[in-house]
Amino acid sequence: MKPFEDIDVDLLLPQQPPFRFVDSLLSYTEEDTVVHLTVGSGHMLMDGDTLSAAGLLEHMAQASAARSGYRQRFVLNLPVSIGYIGQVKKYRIERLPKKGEELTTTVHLVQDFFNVSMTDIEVRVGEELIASASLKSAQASQ
Amino acid sequence: MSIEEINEKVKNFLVEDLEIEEEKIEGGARLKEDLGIDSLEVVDVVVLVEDQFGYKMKPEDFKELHTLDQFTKFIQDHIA
Repeated sequence: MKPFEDIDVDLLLPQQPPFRFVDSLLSYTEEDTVVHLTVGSGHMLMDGDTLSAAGLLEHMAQASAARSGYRQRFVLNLPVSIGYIGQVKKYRIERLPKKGEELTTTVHLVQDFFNVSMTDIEVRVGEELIASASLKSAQASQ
Repeated sequence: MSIEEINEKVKNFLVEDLEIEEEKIEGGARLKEDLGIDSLEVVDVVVLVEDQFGYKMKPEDFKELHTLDQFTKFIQDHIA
């Protein structure tokens, strides 16, 4: 199996720069997936030198999608299917990240049922928790 | 656990977590048409049943569950 950091994010997500908000996958288990993003000035959804709340939410959604993409391609050996955000709850922002900051985001699987995944997501800069949300996403049928 | 205790836990969950109006919650209410429990909210229901009653529901369980009464009876039949 390839080291996680060698996995091309293109294999996991359809989004392309400047609308890609995940740089790499750091780890994957059935319960927890961790991804990385360095906030860049070239990203869309920036508000000056700060990633907007919408951009941070997009990062969280793509982190969840990267989990699903990895699971489908590398665990189940299936093509990666298109996913849709179904619901966002408990979106809490402590602060918005600035250009150059490195986000480490953990996607914790609460429940996978039929084609819907419920995940709890936490975004950190170093040890500092800067945002969290509970997100449901649905996978389109193959 | 009695059916009354199950009803109370389920009702609290429906009101507090799924934000369903309390007056809509009665035994004959249809899960989808009357309570608006769609495919996204079914996941919340699965989490509730596992957390509160210790049973992990399967997709096929929902095929025969159309009303709230059927749902609470199902829980009673499947918990230890």
